[in-house]
Amino acid sequence: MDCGTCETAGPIQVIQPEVVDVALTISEKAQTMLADAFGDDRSMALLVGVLSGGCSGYMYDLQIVENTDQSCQEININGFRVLVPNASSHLLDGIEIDYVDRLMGGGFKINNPNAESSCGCGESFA
Amino acid sequence: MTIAPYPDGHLSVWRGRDVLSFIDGLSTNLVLDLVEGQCKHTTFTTTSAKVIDRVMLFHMGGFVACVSHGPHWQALLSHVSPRILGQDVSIMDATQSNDFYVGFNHGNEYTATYSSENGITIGSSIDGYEMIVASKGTSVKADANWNDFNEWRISQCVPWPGQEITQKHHALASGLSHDVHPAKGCYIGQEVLTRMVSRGKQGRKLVTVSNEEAKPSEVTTKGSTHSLSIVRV
Repeated sequence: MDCGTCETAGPIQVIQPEVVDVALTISEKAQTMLADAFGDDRSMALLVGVLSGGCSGYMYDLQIVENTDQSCQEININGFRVLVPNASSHLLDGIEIDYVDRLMGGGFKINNPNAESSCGCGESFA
Repeated sequence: MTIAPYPDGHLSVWRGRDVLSFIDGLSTNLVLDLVEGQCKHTTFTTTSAKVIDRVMLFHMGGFVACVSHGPHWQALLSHVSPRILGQDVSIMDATQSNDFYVGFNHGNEYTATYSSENGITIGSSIDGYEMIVASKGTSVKADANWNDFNEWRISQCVPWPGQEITQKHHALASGLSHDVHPAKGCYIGQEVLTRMVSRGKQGRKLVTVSNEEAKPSEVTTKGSTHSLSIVRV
């Protein structure tokens, strides 16, 4: 097998989606839960990303981080720093981050107007 | 071993620290556990579990080599490429530097490994054949043609891209149940396949039937005495 070099097997042009300026909202309930999670330390940020996979093709990825090496947009919502990677901005514009308070399937939930469909557990979308 | 040329073979080289998790999230088999020296099939499916392509992955240490079916490559690339997002995954096309063959009728046991010597890499398929990728200029002696391989496939009920493995059918109907891991995490098409498995209803399945019994509309590969067909169950 000849796996090639940069000269003999150049990188394949992959689709690079356009970066959009993301507008997002966080429900009051979700802000309350975030305040519990962050405490008084508002130097931390909520990273709202998207990974490939899940039953529908894309999966949400929520993390509390100090910083990230991804190229991100930073949005400030009522004192909360929210980071959105530019690479997935086209999938996250217009989302609402909500918190669902129930024993099974509860937790942070994302309502996404860009999603054509989502899987049963709500973690992935297409 | 009998060897036939596989002119539609395609080789892409996938690099980056996220490659295995990326492929794992988009295909039916568990590939996160793949380590250097191993090879494995996995199948990329749509959300309705229809097959985009079945590939054979070779873990080559610093990268993953992916042998796929040339005519399906653009569909596969269109499927995966928008999903790379910010992940560390890059893909190169190395098809032009290689020739492709299949080895069959050898009686070797499935090992899930490959050997690589003098530019010739031979990977063991769970379907009982061997995928051979040879650097251009190396010499692999083919002693059979594609019809011979098809006759062997029919006798062993082995599906092939473009014949049984197409976007018309889901992975289970195409005879790819070996590729559908029962316990891995979510992937595209998983809900549909899992429901079929748990209910014991997959609608259609791949079978070998005699040419006298075969319905022309169901035949996917026709042989001299028998055919492969995807039939209702």
